[in-house]
Amino acid sequence: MKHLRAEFDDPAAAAAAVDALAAAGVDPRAMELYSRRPLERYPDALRRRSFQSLGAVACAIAAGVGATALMAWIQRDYPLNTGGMPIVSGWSTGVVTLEMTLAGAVLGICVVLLWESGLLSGGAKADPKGLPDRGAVLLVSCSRREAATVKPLLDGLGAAPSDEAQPAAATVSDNLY
Amino acid sequence: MTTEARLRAEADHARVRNDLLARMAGASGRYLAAVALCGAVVAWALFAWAYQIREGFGQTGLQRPVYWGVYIVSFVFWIGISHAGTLISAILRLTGAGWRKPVTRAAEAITVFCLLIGGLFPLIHISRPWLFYWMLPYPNERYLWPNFRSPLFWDLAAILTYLAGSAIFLYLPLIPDLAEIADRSSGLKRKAYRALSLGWTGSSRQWQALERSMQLMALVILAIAVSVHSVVASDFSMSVNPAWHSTIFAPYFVVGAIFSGIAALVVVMAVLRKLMRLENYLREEHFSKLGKLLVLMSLVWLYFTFSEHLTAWYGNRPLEMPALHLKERGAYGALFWAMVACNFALPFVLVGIRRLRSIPTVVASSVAVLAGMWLERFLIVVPTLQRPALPAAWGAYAPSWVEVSIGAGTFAAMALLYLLFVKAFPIIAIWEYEDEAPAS
Amino acid sequence: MPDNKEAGERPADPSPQWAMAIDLDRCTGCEACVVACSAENNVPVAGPDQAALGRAKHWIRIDRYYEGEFPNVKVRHRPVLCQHCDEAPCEPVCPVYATYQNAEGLNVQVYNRCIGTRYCANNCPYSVRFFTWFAPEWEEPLDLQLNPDVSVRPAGVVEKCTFCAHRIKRAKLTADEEGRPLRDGDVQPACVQSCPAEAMTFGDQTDPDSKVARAISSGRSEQLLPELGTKPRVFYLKKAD
Repeated sequence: MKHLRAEFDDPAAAAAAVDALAAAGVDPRAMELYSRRPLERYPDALRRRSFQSLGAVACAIAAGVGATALMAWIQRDYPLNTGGMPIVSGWSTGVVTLEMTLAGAVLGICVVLLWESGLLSGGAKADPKGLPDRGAVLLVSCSRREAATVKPLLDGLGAAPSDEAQPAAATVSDNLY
Repeated sequence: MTTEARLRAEADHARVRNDLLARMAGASGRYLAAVALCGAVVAWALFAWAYQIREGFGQTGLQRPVYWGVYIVSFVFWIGISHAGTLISAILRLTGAGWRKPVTRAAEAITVFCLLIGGLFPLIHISRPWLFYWMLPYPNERYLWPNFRSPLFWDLAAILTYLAGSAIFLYLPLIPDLAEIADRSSGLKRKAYRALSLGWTGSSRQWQALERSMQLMALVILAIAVSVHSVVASDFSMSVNPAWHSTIFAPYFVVGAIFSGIAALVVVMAVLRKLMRLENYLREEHFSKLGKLLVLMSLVWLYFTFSEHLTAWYGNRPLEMPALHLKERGAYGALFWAMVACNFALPFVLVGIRRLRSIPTVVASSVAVLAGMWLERFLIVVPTLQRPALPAAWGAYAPSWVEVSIGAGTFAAMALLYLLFVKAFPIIAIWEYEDEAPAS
Repeated sequence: MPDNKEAGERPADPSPQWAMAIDLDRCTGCEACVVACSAENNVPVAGPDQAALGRAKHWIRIDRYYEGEFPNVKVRHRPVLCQHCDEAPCEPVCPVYATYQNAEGLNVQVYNRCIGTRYCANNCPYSVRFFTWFAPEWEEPLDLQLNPDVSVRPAGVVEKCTFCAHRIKRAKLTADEEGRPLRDGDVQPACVQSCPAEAMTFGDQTDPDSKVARAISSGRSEQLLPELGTKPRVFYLKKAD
C-alpha cells in the first residue's frame, strides 16, 4: 500500500486538513493522523464510534453473574455448615460478586482497547516514518493515480493562511512510499 | 499560536523529553550503592522468612491470644498506601486537574509496587504458605473449594482484581512513552521497548482508544480501590472481637488509605526530586497542592477516629472497654497520642498554616503521617487481640527479630523496585507533560 | 461426599447432637481434666520458656477468678473448653473450610486443611483455639505414651478440643459391632471421664432421658457469653451461693 505523507507543524491544522480532504471526496478510511501526543480535537472524519463502554459493562455483568452462579453451585454441591450461616448467603457471596464484576469491567476495557486500537494486530501497518515532536503526520493511502489529485489538495491546504496570516507549514512528500 | 511561540514550545518539549530520557541513562555510584543496600536488606528479610518457615512460626513474637501481629499491620499499611495512585491518577484525571500530570506515573507505580508487597504479606503471615493455593478456586479431585464466605477470600479476590487493574492502569499510559524510547534506541533495547509498546504508532485511532480506555479505567479503578480497602477492613469488622466489630471500619480504612497514600506519594516525590534532579518538574505548587489534600484527609481521618472512639467509649460495653482502655490510656496510651500528633497535629500546623507551608514541611508532615498511620494500624490490630472477652485469656505481644527484619525488608523492597523502575521507564509521562510556565 | 442436605439449617435428623454440662457447684478446680485431656489428645507441653511467651496449650483450662478481699474471698472455677457453638464465629472466617460444624453438632478442625491464617483463633471469644508454634517433639520414651487414636499435629496448624471425636467414633463402632444403638454414657471424653467430682456430663441433647439433657433443662443451666449469640453447646450449672 502506498502512502502520501504530509507533515504538519500544527496538529490543529492537520486535523482541519483531514476534514477538508474528506469534504473534497477522499475516503476517510484511507487517511490517518499520527502524532506523539494526543490531539486536542480529532477531525470528524477520523472520529470513530466506540463500543468500549458497552463492552466493559457487558463483560462486567457476565463476570459478576458467572462468578455468582459458580459460587452458588459450588457451595450447594458440597455444603459445609460454617457458623450456622445459610449455605449460599447473599451478603457474603455478594462481596465476591462485586469484585468479579469490577474485574470483568477491567477485562472488557482491555479487550476492547486491543481490538479498537489495532494494537497487537501486526500485519500491514503504515509507518509514519519519524514523527515530529509537536506536530502531526498525515498519511493518505492512495494509488499513484489518486495521488495526482490528492497532492494538489494538500499543497493547497498547506498554503492556506492561518489565523495570524502566517502560512501553516505543511511539507508534502514528493513521492509515494 | 505564532511561529515563534510554536518553535519555542517545540524546543521546550524537546528539552523536556531529552531531560527526562537522560534521567534513565547511566547508573551513578550513588545509585548502585542504593541498589546494593536495598538488595542487602531484602536478602536479609528473605533469609528471615525462610528461617521462619523452617524453624516454625514460633520464631515470631506472636502468642495466644494475639495471633495477628505486625505482619497484618504491615499488610493493611501497604495496601493502604497503594491508594496513592488511585487518588492522584483516577480522581484527578476524572476532575481534569492538570497539575497531576508530572506525578501521575510515580503514583501509579507506587500503587502497583505496594500491592505486590502488601499482597506478599498474606503469604508471609500464614504458617503453611506452600499451601496458599488452596485459597484459589480450582476444581480438584477432593471436591474442595475455598470458603467464599470468608473475608480472607474476599481479600484475595479484591487484591488480585486491584493488582490487575492498577498494573493495567500503569501500563496503558506508558505505551506511548515506550514507543518513543524505542524510536530513540537501537539494537536489543529497541526491539525490547518496541515489543513492550505493542507496536504503537501514534495514530489517531490508537490515541482515541487509549484516552477512552484511561477514562473508563479511572472510573473502574476508583470503584475497585474503595471496595478493596473496605474488604481489607472487613477482616476486622466481620469478627466479633471488641473494638473490631464496628460498622465504621470500611469507610475508616478507605479514608486512612487515601490519607497514607498521599503521604507516601509526597515522600516518593521528594526523594525523586532530589535524587533525579527533577526540581523543574516537581515544583513547589505540586507539593503545596498535595499538602492541602493531606490536610483535608487529615481532618477527615480525625473525624472518623473521633467518631469511632467516642461511640465506643460512650457505649461503655464491658467487653469493649478493656481494649479501649489499653489503647488510649494503658500501655499503648503513649503510642495512641503519638499517632494523633503525627496524623493530625503536625500536618495541620506545618501544612495548614500558609506561612509554614513549604516543600520541607510538607515532606516532614508526610513522613509523620506515614509513621502515624502505621501506628494506627498497629493500635487497631494488637490491643483488641490482647483483651479478648474472657479476662483469663488476656495476653501481650512484642515483635521478634524475624518480624522486624521482614518489615524492614518490605521498605527496602519498595525502594528497590522503584530504583529499578526509574531506570527502565521515564518516571514522568513525557507525552502527558505540558509546560505550564514557558518562560523558564 | 457428605449427605447432609440442608446443612445450613439445624438438622432435624435423629443423629446424636452432642452437648456437655459442667456443674460449677461440684468443680473443685483440681485440673484433672486438663491433665487427662493433654494426655489423651497428644497435646505437647510447652515448657517454661514458651509458656512465658504465652504459648502454653490447654485444650481445656480452668479459669479461676477471685472475688472479694481476705478473709471473705470467694474462688470461682470455670472449666473452659471449646464450646462447639451452633453459630460459631470461628467457622465462617476460615478461607479453606478447615473448620466447620458436622452433622452431629461438633465443631471439627481439619488439621491437614489448615493453612495457618489463624483467623479462627482470633475470632473465638472464648480463646479456646491454640496454634502449633513449633513441630512437637516427645523425647523417648515419652513418645510411647502417645494416643494412637489421635493425630499428632504438625507445625503451623490450629488445634482445639474436639469433644474427643475419636472416642465418639470408637463408641459408635462398638455399638455397631454389638448391633445396638448408642446408649447414654457410652461416650465419655477424657475430661468427663477423669473428673473426680463427676462435675462433667456429656451426651446427646436430643435424647430427653440422657443425663446431659436433664442437666441442661434444670433451672441452674446457663451458657458462657450468651449475649454474643454463639449458641454454645457447653452448659454450666450455676454454683449455689
